[in-house]
Formats: sequence, structure tokens, C-alpha cells
Amino acid sequence: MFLDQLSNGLALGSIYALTAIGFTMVYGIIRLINFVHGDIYMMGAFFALTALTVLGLPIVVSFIIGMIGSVVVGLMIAKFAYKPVFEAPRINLFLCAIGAAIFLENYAMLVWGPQTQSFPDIIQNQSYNFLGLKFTTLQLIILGTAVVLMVILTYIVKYTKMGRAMRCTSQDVDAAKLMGINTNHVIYFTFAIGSSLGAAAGILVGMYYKAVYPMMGFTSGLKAFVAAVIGGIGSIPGAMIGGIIMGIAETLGAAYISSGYRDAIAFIILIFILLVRPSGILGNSAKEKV
Amino acid sequence: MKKIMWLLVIVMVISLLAGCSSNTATGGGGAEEIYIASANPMTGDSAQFGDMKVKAIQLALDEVNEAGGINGAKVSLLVGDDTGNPKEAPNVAQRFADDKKVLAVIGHWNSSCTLAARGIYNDAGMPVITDSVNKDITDGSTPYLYRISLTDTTQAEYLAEYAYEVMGKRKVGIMYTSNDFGAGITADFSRVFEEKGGVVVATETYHEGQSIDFTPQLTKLRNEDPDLMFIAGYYVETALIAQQAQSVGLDVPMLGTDGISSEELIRLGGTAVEGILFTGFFHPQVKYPGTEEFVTSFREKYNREPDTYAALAYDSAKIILKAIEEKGATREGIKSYLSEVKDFPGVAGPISFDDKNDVTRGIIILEVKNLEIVPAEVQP
Repeated sequence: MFLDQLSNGLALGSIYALTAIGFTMVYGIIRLINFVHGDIYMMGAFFALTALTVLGLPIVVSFIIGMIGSVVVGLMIAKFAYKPVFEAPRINLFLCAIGAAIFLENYAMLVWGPQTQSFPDIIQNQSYNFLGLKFTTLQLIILGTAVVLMVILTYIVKYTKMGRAMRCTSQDVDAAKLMGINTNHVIYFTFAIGSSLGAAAGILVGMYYKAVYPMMGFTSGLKAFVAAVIGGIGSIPGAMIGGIIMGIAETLGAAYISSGYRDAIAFIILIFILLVRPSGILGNSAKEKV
Repeated sequence: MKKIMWLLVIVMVISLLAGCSSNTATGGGGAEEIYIASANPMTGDSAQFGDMKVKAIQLALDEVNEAGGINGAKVSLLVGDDTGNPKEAPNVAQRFADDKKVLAVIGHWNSSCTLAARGIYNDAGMPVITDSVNKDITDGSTPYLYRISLTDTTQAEYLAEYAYEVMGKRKVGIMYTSNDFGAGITADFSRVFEEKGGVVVATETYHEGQSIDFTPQLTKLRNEDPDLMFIAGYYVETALIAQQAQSVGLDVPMLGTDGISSEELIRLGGTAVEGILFTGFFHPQVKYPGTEEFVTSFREKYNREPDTYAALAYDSAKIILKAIEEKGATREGIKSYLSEVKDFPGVAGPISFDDKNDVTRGIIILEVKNLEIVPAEVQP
């Protein structure tokens, strides 16, 4: 029973982790709590589903179309919703993010309808046993994708020229500009990567639960936010850890305390961690310039 | 910038005016036209149910109008949208209640909407026929409101009896959605099932729309080793629960409520919902006088299969039209007809209302077989 619930928790946790990675990266660079992330995730799932069912394309192509579509949406939001208020106080940017999120949800309802759509069975789901933990193929793919994306992103941010530019921009936009960094470029690049990560998460989750609907990004966005904060917002490995902790806590809470309180449990953990470590598990408050 | 603002203001004012005029444009038509109204969700999560109901009501009206109307007067339908939201339902109700030409209302689909709106209708003396299931709707405080579907209590009692007597199950595990509908039906089901001698081994809950991962609850249920899983929820979650039950290895028969009586269940759940049993009030293969004609003309007109809600809405419209024919085109007349009608021949079975304004009818048990909804082999 315990090991079964642990596998359930790991599976759910890797989904949270996958969603939280893109979320935390955008925060790390632009210091924006990107509430559109959940809806980009939803758009990605819908784009891929449309490519798959309406256009009849194979899954890999649909997956790429979903990611490209989301990148376009993400860049448009960055251009039309964020850029005009970028110099204004952060709260304006934040409100624009919420507005853009509401817009995307309603746009999806208009185009695809409010009903839940089913994602066709594509991957042969097999069960594996590992030290008493049970996994299915799709769960492994999700966990694997989360780990691979985490490694790639950490590499990009830490070891490439673009990554250095991103870190500079995150520390001080004006100084970065003076040093000859094209900060606009960096910001759009960040949003493009963040959106493609969101889309990848959305498509995989859609495939896993076989359900895609316009409001799917709302709670996921919130949970990703919590996971990112638990892990230390801005820290990419932190998002991974935060996601897994949340997934396991929620599942074990539902199993051993009460299934009615599973969401409450996730938020209680958030409050607890913020009390003990205000900057999250892997967060480092010293780095931040005030 | 200023110009654009003015333009926006003008557009808004025009749209407001247009909204008003559509309400009053045809007022004062007198005896030539008769109006009844539909107040159901046309947008939002329950939109498809409202859509089916309006289609069915329109079909009933078209049939009457093609036959020359009621004493020469044509009948028209006004469609309101409560969006499935109890905050919006009173607005819709108030609009119809104030509109003197509206003689009767068919609706609200969601129980919480009906509960929110029923007082307004009752104060205006507006006869209403609803298909919401919450038992508090007919608590005697709103004599103008009639219910054409069974209450959740009656349904739960039928289901518990079916599970114990017909299916021969003794150990049930329950998954329910934590709202009035799910909690109410779970309490009544457990009570009757335990009175009969069965055991409820586990009761687990979930919040609709907040999580689509049910594996912790299902793993818990599996460990209690039930021989039946009763799911008191709607079709989206039920489809997901059925799929995830398979993946955690909970392989027992499933029993559901009328909340999953929809073709969408099969579209979402696929083979995982094969064999699931649930309540229905109508099925094209369960024939009463008029059922076949209704199903044929519905298919012809809309190219779709009518579902339970369509059939009940069609019967509601028919009974109101009959009332207008018998007692004249007034709200009071319709109400007095509804209070005395006996065995009105409906396509989902004969309709009479008891002293609490609840319909007296049985249930049908439906089953998903070869990815189609058919009546189950053994009926209660």
C-alpha cells in the first residue's frame, strides 16, 4: 500500500516538476510570476491534439507543432502584454499576466469549446516494477522528460553565452544593456523557451490523463507556482525537487489523512517551508540584489 | 485615443440597446403568439445539456406549430442562459418572471441554479418544470415548481437496491464528488445498502475540476477489496476514474448515477468504461407511446441521438402545451393543469406529479456495451 502510494506520488510529482521548470525559469530571468504559464501549457495540449486528430499527423510532428504553436503564443503575449509595461512597476506586469491568462482560457473555449476532449491512445502503456515501485511507460517518459529538460536548461543558463546574458539581465537590466547585451533578445528568448517547456508539459499531461480542456492550466499553473516556491523560485533543480515533494505529499496526504483535503495539504506544506526557509529549499536569497 | 474611447462607448450603448430590444420587441402580440421559456446552461461546463434541452423543446413546439398551433396561436420559445452558475440563474429567472408574456419556464438543469431561482418564479406565479435532482427543490415551499426527474434520494435508493438484490453485491467502495449532489446521493445510497445488510468498505471523495489524478483514492479503495465501485459524480471524472482504476489494478464492476448518462462518457473513457451500469430515465429502446416518433424526428432534425435530458425536456414542453390547450394561455391555468394531470403519455414514460410536485416514475438501468449505451439485461 505505501509503496503503491509512493509510486502514485512520484508520477504526480514528476508532472508538477515538469510544469514548474518552465515557470521557475521565466521567474529566474525576468522576475515575473508568469501566471500565463498554465494557459500556455493548455494551448500546447490543444495545438498538439488538433494536429493529431484534425490534421491526422503523427505524434512526434504533433508534439513539435504544439511546442511551436505555444512559442508563437508566448512571444505574442510577451510582445503585446508584457513589453509595453516592462518599465513600469512589477505589479503592472503581474496584472497583465493574469489578464492574458483569462484571455487565453476564454479564447480556447471559443475555438475548441468548453467540453473536455479526449486525447487518443498513442503510446502502449506497460507496467514496470522497480524495487516495489510501479511505473507505466508514460510515467517514465514524463519523469525522464523532466530530468532531461532540467539538465539541458541548467546547461543553457550556466554554461552558454546566451545563458550568461540571461543571468546578467536577471541581475540588472540596465547594466546589462550598457554592457552591450541585447536585453530584448534575451527576454523574448526566455519566453520562447518557457513556452515550449510549458507546451511539452501540457501535451504529456494531456496524453497521460487522456483529457484536454480549456481550464486545465488553471490549477496546474497554481500547483506549478507552489512547487517552484517550495523548491526555491528561480532555481531549476529546485522546481524539480519541489514538484516531487508536492506530488508525494499530496498523494500520501490523500491516502493517510483524507482525500478531501489533498489540495489543502499541498498548501500547508508551502506555508511550513516558507516559515522555515523563506527562500525555498534550493533558493539562495543572498544572491538577489535589492 | 479619445476617438477610440468614444467609439467603444457607442458600441457598448448600442449593444445594450440591442439587448433590451430583443426582450421587448415582440411584446403585446396578444393571442396570436404564446411564449414559453427555457432557462438552462447554454455556455460553460454544462452547456451541452442545455443545448440538448433547447433542441428537444424546439422540436415539440415545431410539431405543434406545424399542426396549426394552439387554437390558431403560434408558440415561440425564449432561450435564457444561466451558464450553469447559481449567481446567474436569478437574473435569468427575474427576466422571465417580469415578462408577462412568458407563460411557463422549463429549466434550470443544475440543482444549485434551480435552488437559487425557484423563489423568484414562485413569487411571480410562474409554473416551472425542472429536471434538477436535489431533494430540497421540492420541499413544499414553492408550489409552482414541478420536477420531472427523480430526486437524488429516490435514485440512490433504487441504485442501492439494484446493487444488493440484482447484482448481488455485498461490499461496496464509493467515490463521490464533494458537492450537494455527490454527498447527498452517497449518504442515501450507503444508508439503504447497509440497511439491507451490505457493507460500505470505503468512501473516498474528490473535488470536481481541481484534480484529475485519482490514483491515491483508488489505491485505497483497491486495498479494501470491494466487489463493487459506486461512483457518484459526472461523466468527465467518471471516465478518468474508470481509466485510472484499471491502471491501479482495481478491477470491479462499476455503478454510476444519471450524472454520467451521456455519450461523452464513452468518447472520453473508451474501453475503460465498458460494462459500467448507471441510471437513466429514458432510452430509445425502452418504448412508450410516442418514443419512436420522437427519436426519429429528433434524429432527422438534428442528426443526433436524443438523451435523457432531451426526452424529459420534450415531455415538459408537451405537457405545458397540453395545459395551454386545455386551460387557456395563463400561468394559473398551466399550474392548475399540472396539479391535476394523471398519467400524461410522455416519451420517457407516463407522468403524474405527487403531492410534493415530484414525478412518479421508475428508473431504467443502462449499460455501456460494445461502446454503446444500451438498457441493461436485468432491470429493477
